[in-house]
Amino acid sequence: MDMGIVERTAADARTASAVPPVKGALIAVEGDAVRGLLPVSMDEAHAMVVRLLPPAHAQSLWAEVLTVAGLTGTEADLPSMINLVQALTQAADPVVAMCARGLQIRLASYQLLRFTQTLVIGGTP
Amino acid sequence: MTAKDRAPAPSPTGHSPAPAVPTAPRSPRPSPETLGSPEEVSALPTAHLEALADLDRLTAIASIDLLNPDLVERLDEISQRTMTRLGHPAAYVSIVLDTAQLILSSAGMSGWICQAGGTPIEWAFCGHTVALARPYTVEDASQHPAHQASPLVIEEGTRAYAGVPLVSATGQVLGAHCVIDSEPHRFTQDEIAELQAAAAEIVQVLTEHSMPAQTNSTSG
Repeated sequence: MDMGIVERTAADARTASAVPPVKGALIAVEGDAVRGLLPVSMDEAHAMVVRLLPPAHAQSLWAEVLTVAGLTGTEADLPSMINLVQALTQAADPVVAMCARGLQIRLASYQLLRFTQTLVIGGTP
Repeated sequence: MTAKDRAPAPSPTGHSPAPAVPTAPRSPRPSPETLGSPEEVSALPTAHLEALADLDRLTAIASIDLLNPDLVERLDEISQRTMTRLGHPAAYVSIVLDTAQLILSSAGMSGWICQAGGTPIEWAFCGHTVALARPYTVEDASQHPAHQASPLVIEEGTRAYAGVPLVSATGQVLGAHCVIDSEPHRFTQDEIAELQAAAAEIVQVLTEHSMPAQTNSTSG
């Protein structure tokens, strides 16, 4: 079966090529968004920490994460966001670290769909 | 620190591409009776997000050793068996976080979803299953208002979905076990029962890989 659902085992899927298959349909892109999905932002990541922790704890963890990621907190570029989310997944608080995996999935989804869109329409990511 | 020690705080201003997660994460979950039809489901995204952002639920998920190879291997076996028994092309185990679903185990899937390890929550069928805390089926996603615009439908070709919640012994809905099909399909009670039996096994495996509660108040 095509379109992302195939007769394969989970092990096959995990060892699949790092390059996603090119789909026949164009992927809708609006500005930086792909299918309405934007890359994770500094605000979004900060909001997650603030939502999950008491204020004082959130502030100190956020400062620590920025230090680990080598960021100032004002960056907006994709490589910085990747570093930030990676640092969050290593946070000492287990709930923050787990929810950061959610942000990591969002970032990866964005990158993979954006990459596919680039291949399909010949644009630039 | 426990979930009860964590205080919700206002979301920052500025653009936030992820769905705005409610700032009151322990709001009561809407009853399934109020979220039955496709129209009702699609009209209540905030209610869904409130359920998914519940801090006690997230804390329960965080207590599971999700990266344990034995855990994944055993869930892979269950997913493979579900896929085979139900005769649909793919089955998976989804742990539903607040902003994304983590596909912990799958059979019959490929492409960017496997590479990303999951999908954003706004595209996740399993997000509905968890928010509703009951079996959730979609006969034809291309005609369903909550799903017809999703890349999982438009790009990946998913048409039919049936998922059942993974409910812990303490009542927390951790995720979902489901099958999907690229053709429209009306799921039977027997199929749902098969999924529920598998889900009970999955919960048992997850429980066996739960770690003692971590009271971490020193981070940061």
